[in-house]
Amino acid sequence: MKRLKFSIIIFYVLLFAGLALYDERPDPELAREMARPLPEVIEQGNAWIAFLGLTAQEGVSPYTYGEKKMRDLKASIQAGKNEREVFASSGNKDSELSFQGKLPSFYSRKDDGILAYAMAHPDEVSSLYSNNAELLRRYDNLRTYPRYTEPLELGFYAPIPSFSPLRNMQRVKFLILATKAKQGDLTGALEEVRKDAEFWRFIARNSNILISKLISISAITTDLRFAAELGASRQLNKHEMAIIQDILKPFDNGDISLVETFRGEARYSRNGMELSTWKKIKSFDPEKLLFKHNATNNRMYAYVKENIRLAELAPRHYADELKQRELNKTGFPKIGVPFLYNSIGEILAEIAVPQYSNYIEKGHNIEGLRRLSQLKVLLRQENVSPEQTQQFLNVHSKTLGTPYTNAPMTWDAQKGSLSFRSLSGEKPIVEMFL
Amino acid sequence: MKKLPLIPLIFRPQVVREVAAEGSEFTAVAVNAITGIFVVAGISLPMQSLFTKSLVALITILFGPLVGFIISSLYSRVEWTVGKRLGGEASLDEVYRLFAWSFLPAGFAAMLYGLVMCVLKEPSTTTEIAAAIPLLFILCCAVRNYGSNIITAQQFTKTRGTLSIIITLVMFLILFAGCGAFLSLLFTYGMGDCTKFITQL
Repeated sequence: MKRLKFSIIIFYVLLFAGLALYDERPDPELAREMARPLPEVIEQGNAWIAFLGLTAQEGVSPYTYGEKKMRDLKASIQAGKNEREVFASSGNKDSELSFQGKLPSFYSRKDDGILAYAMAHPDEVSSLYSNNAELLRRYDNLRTYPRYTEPLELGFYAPIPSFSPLRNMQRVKFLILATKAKQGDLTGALEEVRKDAEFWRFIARNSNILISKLISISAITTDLRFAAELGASRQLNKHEMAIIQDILKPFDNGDISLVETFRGEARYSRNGMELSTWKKIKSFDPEKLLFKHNATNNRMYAYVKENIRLAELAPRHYADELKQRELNKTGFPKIGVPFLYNSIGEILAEIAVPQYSNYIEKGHNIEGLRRLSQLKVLLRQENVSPEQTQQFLNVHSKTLGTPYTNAPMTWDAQKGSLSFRSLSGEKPIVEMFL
Repeated sequence: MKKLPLIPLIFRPQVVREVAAEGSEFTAVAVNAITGIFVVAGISLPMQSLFTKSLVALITILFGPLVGFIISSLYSRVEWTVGKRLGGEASLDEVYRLFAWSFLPAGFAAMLYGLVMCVLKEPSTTTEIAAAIPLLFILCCAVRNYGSNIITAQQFTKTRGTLSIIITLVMFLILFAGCGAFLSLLFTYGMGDCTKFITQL
């Protein structure tokens, strides 16, 4: 009997020791991803540095200011400073430029487009231009940058550029272009919108983290809606139509796809954990018994891999997959066997991950919006009456139908709007007013 | 092998006493392990929305017996120590076996309750309470059986026996709370920010 009790004790001691000391091997795909060399961030021609320094004080170039911020931040990290000190090292906000004025939100209701606002508020537009001339000039200058590289190696320590001035400057610029178009130079206005759209498609293609990807998708949304508004304002000549078609052309692979963004996020998160969390845990720390390095990284990357697979699906297949998951109640992450040897890491991997499916949907929705914009312009150019609109939509459903089902877009004669239903409740209807 | 009288085991203390006396110490150890598995299964089966099936199975098989061993060994030892102080005659082995066989039906009922909760899928509070009534009844019977048999084994009067049982329970809860407090201190001062972050979620 004593032998039995002794055996039981030895068994559990060995079991707990094994669980406490065991860690998985690193996922080979993750290891390959982490080993991929990253281009240098602080290099002439990198638009991200200019984004970072966009609000530099008068007389200071955005690139120079952004470069200084990055170098100061890197020096703080290398000096082993704590998080507060690191973030404090990135610039003095008191002397920076800021957006002056107020901008309404556009395209949420009928007749609240940029063109309509510019016509009704010429003084406000003029004031916005004169109060933000320097920021606007810097915004225009961003198009000259040939590269966009984000600092993934710094993880959570990487500063996030202030995207708000960028978005505001886009809208101020479009208000000015709207005025230009109404004064007779529609071609010139469209050319500028095309350049803006090209710029934001370029940023979107090269964005490797979610925030910049979503901001660029949001900016492209404004490009599409404003282009459609201009395209439907009057009959276009051949050249103007060609410009519009170029602005509203299908997205190249990577413009709106989140595949590379998720890969970038995986790297960003892992590097952030390495610099912050893993660095703090000492070798003799009891926390190490329940929080394993490789197992946690593998688990988090497994989640990213699954979302990369989902992001690679065409909108229709993505919609089908979501429907299946809803029916079978699958796809919801559960805590698995690794919980036994990596309790903390397993819970962290379950809780601390964002719902990427919402972002995948944003990418597909903008394709739908592109089609709505095309339809809006075509309806005007071909002088389609309200009574004939639904038939027109039916005829064009193959190429300009809803992205999830390829069914014709919906025409609401009462509201005067085209729309399609998206997948989630966050914004169930994507709508465009004629 | 003699057939086990399952239903009498629940309702009749004398049957429990006879089975405990006839069985070996090894059997008592096995019974405690099985009871531990039943109890852990009863707790973890309804948590399949949070845990994978594999994890539930592993936790039940690996740690169920451990839970059974720890609680039965600790409680029996406390019972025997308190009983001895009060002039009791029972040996540690007797107390251990009585504990094992008294609570086996309750463990089984706990597992059945877990299975029922699993099958029902998001039952209402009323349903949960209604399903728990058989378990609570069997648990009360188990406590009655154990108490009655301990009094007999210790050769106590009813008053002394009841006092012994109450003191044992209180001592056991204090010991348990003490372990919990120690782990809590270890958590607070021994663990890092990440663990604390998790507990705050």
